[in-house]
Amino acid sequence: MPLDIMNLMPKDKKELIECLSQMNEDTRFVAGGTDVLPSLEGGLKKFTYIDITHVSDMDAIKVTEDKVIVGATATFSDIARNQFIRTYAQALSMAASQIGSVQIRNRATIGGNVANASPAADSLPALALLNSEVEILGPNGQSKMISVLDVIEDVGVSALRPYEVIWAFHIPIRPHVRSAFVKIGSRKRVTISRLNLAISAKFSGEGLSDVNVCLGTLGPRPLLIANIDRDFKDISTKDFPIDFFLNLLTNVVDLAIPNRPSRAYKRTAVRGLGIDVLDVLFGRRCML
Amino acid sequence: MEIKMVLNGRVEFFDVDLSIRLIDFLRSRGLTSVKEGCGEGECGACTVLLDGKAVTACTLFAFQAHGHEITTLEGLQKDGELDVIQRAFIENDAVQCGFCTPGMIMAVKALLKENPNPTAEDIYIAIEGNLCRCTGYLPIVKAVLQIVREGAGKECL
Repeated sequence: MPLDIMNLMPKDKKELIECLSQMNEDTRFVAGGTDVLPSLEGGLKKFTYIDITHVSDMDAIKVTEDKVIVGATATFSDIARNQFIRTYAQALSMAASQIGSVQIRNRATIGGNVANASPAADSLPALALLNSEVEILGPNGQSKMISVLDVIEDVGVSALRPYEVIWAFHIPIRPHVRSAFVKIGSRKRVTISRLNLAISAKFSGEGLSDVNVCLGTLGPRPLLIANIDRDFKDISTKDFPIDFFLNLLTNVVDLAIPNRPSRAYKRTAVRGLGIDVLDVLFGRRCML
Repeated sequence: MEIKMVLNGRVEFFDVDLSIRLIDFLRSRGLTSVKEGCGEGECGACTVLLDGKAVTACTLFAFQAHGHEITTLEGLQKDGELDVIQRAFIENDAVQCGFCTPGMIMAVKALLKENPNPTAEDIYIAIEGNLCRCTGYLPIVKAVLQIVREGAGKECL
């Protein structure tokens, strides 16, 4: 059934739900377009695209008592400069500010970055580290919540059905927890990650606990390693066991990509990233 | 599909093919300052302003400009006078082959609209998505710093 032309640019959630009920194999959603258009390579007539950037409230960034809610069409420029995210989800703010160029960040959306399911996506390790849940909207207007890691089925394949769309990301606020994100690519800026790394820890005075790390680009999904501090509870930042931490990162790379040619590079590079991310987490280097 | 946009300051209605990119649409209207380099948002040669913000016209469908204000380099001149950024680029030899120049100027325009007093680091970040293979970037940054020094960035607000 051909789509009603009016539905090519839904203006609110109600019109978006109408679109969802009309989706078929010839229709796709487009938001910022920064992944969609380059992927078409001249095949621009393949699908009918529905522009969801006009949907009101879908780009909103809000804070409630216990979580930050980031609308799916919030751009990375919006996210990088948002004060709630800088306060409660620093790793996501840092990831957003390092994605692409100004031009890309002005259009690329967080929902698009996740739905595109690239192993090199920079928002994914940050979102996974922060235990984010994804609110997915279906054709009858019903929403379901799933873990951000469960959105990714394989390289470039998301768990979204054609009649579903990401509406928002729900990021829990964890008191006294700080986080950080770093990446490395083939050049300093405007680069696709060859490796990215996010870390979070709970701070109480000089001590820290609940240290979680998340590594991207080593498989279809980011690898989340929770509570790496289970053997050194409540240590101070100055006694942080750096060698243990860096060896852990190298081991993760070795286990994740034992036969990939890039293993030799990544098992070394991840140690540099490990030092960088601790510098940022402990406030020795400012990324916000 | 009929769309409405403000193109270089004028409200206009266009009938656009749903599959055409914004870059192709603008060039078909004679706005040939919008250059195609990479076609995937990497080089910035097609940078235009969408509601005052720098975007790459090769990564948008033309119909996505509906309801927005699009400004290309052609929209910068007022009453036949070059924009302050265009003048500074000329005065500082910030142009060699010229292919990147329209996109570079639009990226700088977006920067100065938001921040009329940027630092050199702010300028480098603003043009990080614009590749230039001739100038080495130094005369471009010098041109923008001249605008800042002369207090002329306010003209872009």
